[in-house]
Amino acid sequence: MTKKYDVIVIGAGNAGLAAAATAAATGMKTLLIEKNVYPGGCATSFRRGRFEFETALHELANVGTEENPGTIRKIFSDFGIDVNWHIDDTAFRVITADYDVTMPAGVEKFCCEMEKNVPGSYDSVRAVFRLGKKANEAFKYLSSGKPDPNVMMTKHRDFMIMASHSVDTCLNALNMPQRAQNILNTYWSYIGAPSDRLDFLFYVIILDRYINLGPAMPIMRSHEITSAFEDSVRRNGGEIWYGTKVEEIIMKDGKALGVKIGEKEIYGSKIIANCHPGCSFGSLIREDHIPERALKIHNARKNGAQFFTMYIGLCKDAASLGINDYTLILYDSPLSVKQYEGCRGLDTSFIMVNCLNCAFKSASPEGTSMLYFTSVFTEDILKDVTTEGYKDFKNHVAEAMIKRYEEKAGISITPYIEEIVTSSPATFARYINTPGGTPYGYEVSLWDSMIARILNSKNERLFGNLWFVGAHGERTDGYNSAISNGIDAAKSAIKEIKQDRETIA
Amino acid sequence: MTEYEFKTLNPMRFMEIVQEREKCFAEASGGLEGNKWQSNELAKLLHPGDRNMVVSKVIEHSRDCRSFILTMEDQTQKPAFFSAGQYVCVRLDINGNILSRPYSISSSPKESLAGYYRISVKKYNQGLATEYIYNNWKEGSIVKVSEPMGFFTYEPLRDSKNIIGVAGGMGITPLLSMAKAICEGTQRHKLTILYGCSGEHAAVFKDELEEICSRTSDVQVRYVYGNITVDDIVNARCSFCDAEDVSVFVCGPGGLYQYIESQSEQILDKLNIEEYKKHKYIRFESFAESRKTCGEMPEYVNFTVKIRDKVMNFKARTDVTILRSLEENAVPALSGCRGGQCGYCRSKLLSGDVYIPEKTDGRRLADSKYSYLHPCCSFPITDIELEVPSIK
Repeated sequence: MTKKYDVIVIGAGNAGLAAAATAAATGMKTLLIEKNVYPGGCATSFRRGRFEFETALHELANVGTEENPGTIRKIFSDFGIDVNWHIDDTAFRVITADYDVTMPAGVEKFCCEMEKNVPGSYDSVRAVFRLGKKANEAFKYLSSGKPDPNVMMTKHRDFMIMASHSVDTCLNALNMPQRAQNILNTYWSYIGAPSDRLDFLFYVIILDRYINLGPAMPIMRSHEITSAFEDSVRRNGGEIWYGTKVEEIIMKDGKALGVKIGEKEIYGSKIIANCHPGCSFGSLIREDHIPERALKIHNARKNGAQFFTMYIGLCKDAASLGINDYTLILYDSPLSVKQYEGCRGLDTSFIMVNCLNCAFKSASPEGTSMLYFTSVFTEDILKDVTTEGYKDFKNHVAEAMIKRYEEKAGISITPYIEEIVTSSPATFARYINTPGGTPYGYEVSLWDSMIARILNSKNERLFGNLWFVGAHGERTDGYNSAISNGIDAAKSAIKEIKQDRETIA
Repeated sequence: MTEYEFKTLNPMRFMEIVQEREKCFAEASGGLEGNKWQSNELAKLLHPGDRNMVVSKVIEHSRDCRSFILTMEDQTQKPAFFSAGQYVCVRLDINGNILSRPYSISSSPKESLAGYYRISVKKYNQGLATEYIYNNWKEGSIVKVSEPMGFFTYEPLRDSKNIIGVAGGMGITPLLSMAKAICEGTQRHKLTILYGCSGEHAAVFKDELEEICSRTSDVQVRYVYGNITVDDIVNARCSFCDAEDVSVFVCGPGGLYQYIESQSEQILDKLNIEEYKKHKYIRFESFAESRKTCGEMPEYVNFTVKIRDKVMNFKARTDVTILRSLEENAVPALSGCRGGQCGYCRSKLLSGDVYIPEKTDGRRLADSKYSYLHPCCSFPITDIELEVPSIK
């Protein structure tokens, strides 16, 4: 044995960083290993010419102000993490064949704006946020220890209903007018599952977090968040090795003992892998160490959505180009189920365009602006693409996205493109090594919802001393989820370490 | 009551979900066949990381200019496809000192499908790396080569369809690759190259360029013996008769960049490019390593370098980049472009002060906040303590 750590974390994505920060802050001897030279996974930024582009984070939910902090702000403050936030007062603008609306942040404002656009919708929309509060209360009760089924059925009955019915079923039961449902469902693409399959519970929580406290953006892009996490790991004595690839997790009798880096073996009591099981089975973990049930659990689930993103630096400022929205979402159909179906082929029905300069002007140099384009695909769009055809393919998709934006938003950007970078699912696969490059883990559905995953997490953990964390984990996709998932895993690992120590003592 | 109907939904359905979940698992395959995703396959093929290549041919263009044809050591593999204008880093192990140097690929993307890259290297006086390459790279030598990197490429959604390529000396290599790509039909735009060199004897790629020009009217070359001037650039515009706009791609030594920068107002004016579009239409490849331009300094300082679980101590000069000192002291540190842009060498400054020339400061905002720097374009001012990423 060359060296012994309490906790070895593989991968410095949001979940890995949060896990390492938690372990280090508890005094555990922690090693965080990352194959890339930067932390963050998807959560990072990159420089090109005069611009620093955000790679993945459009807005973080649940940050809130210093006076009225949300969970994320509290978590960060516990870690001594200092991030400079911009909190926006607009939720989004969405354009479909049926409507073009701009929705404000703040529950009351949101409900009033909805009433303006869809008369008679106020009560049902208000009810959604009321249920959101109840969902949060039930969650608190659930995470407080061993929940009593009777209490769940009586006191948290609404929670049980929300957790077991789809968004569509619940909104219909609330008698919400269809158009209001459509507008309310805009956020489905943040989760990657359509409203007829997505559990209402998760959606309500997401909605409440964004609308209640407003969307938050770190001034220095995601790299500010992940650098701050990294700094917290270091301050608490944790080690971080960049540019270092773990070849294998050393397993014996169903338990993880350490990791292999080249010829070197490094031992740790607990291993937390911020890696997708689908890309770890058969490589990071040798086939003979994988229980059949683990493979069944993986194979039964639908892979998360693929992304195509584009980062554009413009040599004109946003205002003079007529760009006024931080978040502009373009859908063809007003119906979320149709929108989801339309994400199959290249001719995608969904594009989101973010302009950070509309949130805060100084996001790029004076006289310039930046646009981030995102579209989601539910089937492998690179299926027939060769290495030689790859660049042309990317440019083809990019051009179509720009054209569509210019038409629908009535804004001309082509003559002002100073920098343009496109990321396909292959780019995501390169940096985060997930199946098809999905940053969303497994697609959520009623039986594979956040609550279904959390309640079954104990009996679905099949490797000793080893936790898999990330978007595929119990908390599903999203920055907030990944951070919570990492913290949960680290706490569980720390608990086991303390138990092991007591046993030895 | 808005919630009346909602309350009638069955909360017990929650119990069914667990059963449904178990049923889905039970029905699924327990095999490792998995999904084969083309995205993951492309990621591996396009970004294979460092690999061993063989010098399969050495071409002597002149006394101080050679090209090397590099093929895969493992013949079941192929060199990664790339965009014309990109470079590869060659990793040299010179008596235990690990040096990494970027060289533009002077062959075409299509030629990589045939199994090779060509890089062209000019020998510089007291150039540690080039001297080593000239003395050691023979046919059959094995060299470690990175995947293609860099952004000095033609981007159809950004650039004009008419490009003036301004090449100073070896700066011709990425533009040569672009010319070939146009000739082979993989890139669709016009390119007029200004090939600046000291004299006809130094225009070592003239025959190759002439050959390309004879095959496609989309590529033209003008030879400039001596320094390239604003007039040369402006005159080159005439080669595109119906051009609405034109992009200028500049690649060469630092002196050329300084000249173009200092004359940019004139160039923009004469090429009819509005001032605010300067960065869109005039593009530079970074070719020169940054040199120190800072005041009085001790000649040597102490370095403490942490690399994974190893710590190294040595004295290093203050007038060379931190990266150079790392290399000269056998630190196996990762690096890429050597121009402050790619971020591969990004390292954490644990203590001490450094000087970073503004021109080459390609750090991200949060990197500055958390004391990260790019050793390839940073100079020590005091004793420093540094944590660097390891080469794999």
